[in-house]
Order: sequence, then C-alpha cells, then structure tokens
Amino acid sequence: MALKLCSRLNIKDVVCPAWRCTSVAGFRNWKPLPPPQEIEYPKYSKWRLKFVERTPQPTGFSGKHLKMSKRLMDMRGPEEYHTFLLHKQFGIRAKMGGMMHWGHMDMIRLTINRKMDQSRMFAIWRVDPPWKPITKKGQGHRMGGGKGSIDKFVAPVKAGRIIVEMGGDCEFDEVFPILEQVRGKLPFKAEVVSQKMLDEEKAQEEYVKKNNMNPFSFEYCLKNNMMGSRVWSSPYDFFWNGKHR
Amino acid sequence: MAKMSALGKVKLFTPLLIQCRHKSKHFIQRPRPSHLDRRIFEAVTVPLLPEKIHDPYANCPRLRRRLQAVKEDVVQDEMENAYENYLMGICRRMLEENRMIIAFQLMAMSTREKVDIKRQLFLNGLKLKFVSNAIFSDTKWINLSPLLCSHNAYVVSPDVDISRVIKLTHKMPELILLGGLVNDQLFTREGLQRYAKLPDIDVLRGQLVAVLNATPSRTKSLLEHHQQTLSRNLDQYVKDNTEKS
Repeated sequence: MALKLCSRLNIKDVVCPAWRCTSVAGFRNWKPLPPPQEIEYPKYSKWRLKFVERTPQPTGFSGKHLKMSKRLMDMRGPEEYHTFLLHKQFGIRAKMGGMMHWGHMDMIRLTINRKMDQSRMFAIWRVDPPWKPITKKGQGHRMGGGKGSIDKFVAPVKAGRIIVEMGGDCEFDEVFPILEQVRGKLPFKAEVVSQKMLDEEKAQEEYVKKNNMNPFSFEYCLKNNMMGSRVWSSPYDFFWNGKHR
Repeated sequence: MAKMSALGKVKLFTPLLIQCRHKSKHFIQRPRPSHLDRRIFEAVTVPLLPEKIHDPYANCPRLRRRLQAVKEDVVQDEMENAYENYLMGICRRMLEENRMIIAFQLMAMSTREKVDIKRQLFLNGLKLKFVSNAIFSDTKWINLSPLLCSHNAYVVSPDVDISRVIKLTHKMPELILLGGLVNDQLFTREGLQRYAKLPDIDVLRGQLVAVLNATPSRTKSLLEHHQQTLSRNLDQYVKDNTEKS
C-alpha cells in the first residue's frame, strides 16, 4: 500500500531480474490520524474483569441457600434492558437464551484479562454473577425423596443480552480475536458486536418498518386468525410475534 | 387433537393411528423445527422490500476506491509536504552543483550489483543518482526531459571528465549511455563518445596555435618562393660561368 507507482520523486529503486520490471517506492502523503474520539472510561482504577464469586451470599432466613423452581422464563424471549453498549464500543451479545455458570465466567475473565492490553483497554461485566440455584440429585439416587440439593449457581441470559463489554483506545480488529475466542466457548450462540453494527442493525430495522410492502405482518395475521393460525399458535407467539419461541 | 386435525389436512390417505409426541418442557436453546403450516405462515408474513436500483457508483467497490483515491490525491496535492520539499531541495542542489550530468538507462540487475557499480563510480569521484523528471518542470533542465523518461540513473560530478566516465561505464553492461549535460550544454550519445576521444585541452590549444601559425608562415613562404628560386638560379649560373672561365 505504501508502494505507489508514481511520477513523484523516486529515491529508492529496486530492480527484479526475473521480470525486468522496476518497482519504485514512491511517496504517499498519509493524512494525519483523526483525533481520538472521546472515550468514556470506567471510573474504577483497574480496567480488568473482576473476579466472580462462585456462590452468592445466602439470602435465606436460616443462613442457607434457598432452592428455586426452574423458572425457564428467565432465559426465554428477548432481553428487554441490557441490549445496548454502555461505552459504545465493543461487546459480546447472546443470540439465544442460556445459562452461564461460574466456569464460563472464569473463562471469560481469564481470557480477556490475559489478552487485553490493560494500559489502554478496559473490559466490564454486563451480567450479574451466578445467582440462580440449580438443583441436582446425586448419581445413583432413586427417584423421589423430594427436591435434590443445590449443585451450582448460574446466571440466566436472554437472547440479545450484552454479556461483556470491551473498549478503550483500540479498534475492532484488535478486540475481535479476543472476543471471538470467548464467544466460541459460551454455552449458547453469541456474536461479537460493535456500536457501529448495532446502529446499522437499528437503521435496517427502521428501513424495513418503513418500506415493508407486505400488508400481512406476523402480528396482524395471528391476531386475525389467518390461515387457521389459532390452531397451532402458542401464547409466546403473541408475546414476541414469532421472533422468539 | 388440534395437532391431529392439522396433520390430517391432506385427505389422500388417512392412517388409522397417528402418533404425536408432546414434549413436556420447551428447550430454549434448540426449539422444535416449525411444522409445515407454521413455515408457510412465516414465509407469507416475511417483510417484502422494494428492489434496490443498481447504482454502479454505490455498488462497485473498485470504482468507489478509485474515486476516493482521486479525491485523496487532490487533497494531497493541495497539502504541502515538508519532507517532499526537503528532498526536492537536495535534488535541485545536486543539479546546480554538478557541471557534468550524464544520463544512463538501467538494465535489470540486483541491488548488490548496483551497489558495486555505485562504489566503483564513487572511488573515481563520481556519483550515481536517481531522480524523477517531475521536478524538472519550469527549470533550466527542462531540455533534458527526453532523457528523463522512466527511471533513469545519472552519473554526476562537479569536474568535467567525460573520458573517465565512458571508460568506467564501458565495462558495465548494465548502464546504457543516453546523453548528458556538460557545462550547460546538451550532448547526444555520439557527441559524448566523440567528446571522450578528444585529447587534453592543452594539446588541443597547441594544435590550434600550430594551425593558426601555419597560414602566415605558408603565405610568407609563397611570397618568398619566386625570389628564392631566382636567386638560386642566378647562383647556379654564376657558379657555372666561373668554372668555365
């Protein structure tokens, strides 16, 4: 790219004997870099992912961890709040619901802290530490005998939730390999996103909304029982218009 | 039963028994594939967007890049490049200080060979330079421009000694003589070669003096010729007569 066959001043000259062509290193007047954009750094001094506790503080009256029902709704449907990037730079977004346990959290923390240049980049958590108890009956137990004991704690994640965020004086190409490595090891499908991608997505959504020529939307057809959809539709189709199930 | 009615829409063959398995719980990360009715419903309700008109300027990345490059070059020309100006200064000084500039065409050679040539020339008080013709516009060296096509090399020296240059470059088949500028006078290839064969200037001056002296001496001899022959004849006559008597 720095090489430019040009008619400007040529000082360096390299001749390739095999092809009998003269490649010339010319000058490229690279424009000065744009001034760094205003980055909002986290307030705390150490810009690294903090250690995540394996178990939360017991909340029960008796000082013990309370068991909980499965509550699959915690992972079902779209995330409603944590869908934007706080620092408007880069992050990982869940494509579907799932549960992250302490091992996943530790993997993310170690990978990012090891690979990130902490003098100019930062990373923050966007999920809570594991809080939901998951019970399991021990191996070789007969059925019955009440609910099993608590096996682990997890952090449920809904589709579209930002899991970690990275930023600082860095570019997407720099951050992508780190986040990509983390993304592949998560227990659900996820993607690496930047603020630019999110903006484009939003613009595309608006464009589709504005220019949609199909008068029969999913919502409208379901509402009016078109094609006998009331027969097979579930309540969740009414909630999320067929985007999540 | 609802499912059964959905499946039994095609009336070509009605089996006696239909099995339909209902899972107890929804698996969030791998929802069941949609049945035919739902797939048709989803396909019908997909948003329809107007077809984008093909815009070559917007769609062709090559064209876009070229336009960008042209735009950047315009900007670059407008911007003053201090480094380029500095190098231009060096080149101009080189041209002003040296009274002998001889252009050569470079044949294919490796950098090592080129370095050897450079060194040999340097040991003889000559320098090998590479200058592009871009800087010669609106200067007194504009008349050199036929020699300044492509990437030629120039052997320069403050002292005028063409025979040495010709003798040295005679052994270098990589350098092909094109012409030159000696004492602000343009020379062709033949002219330079003839110039090189000429002897030293003092010898030439001696020859000139000799030539200039030749004419008066010849005039003198021509004027004296008749008198001399007459006197010689008379002498002979006198001698003959005295011998007889």
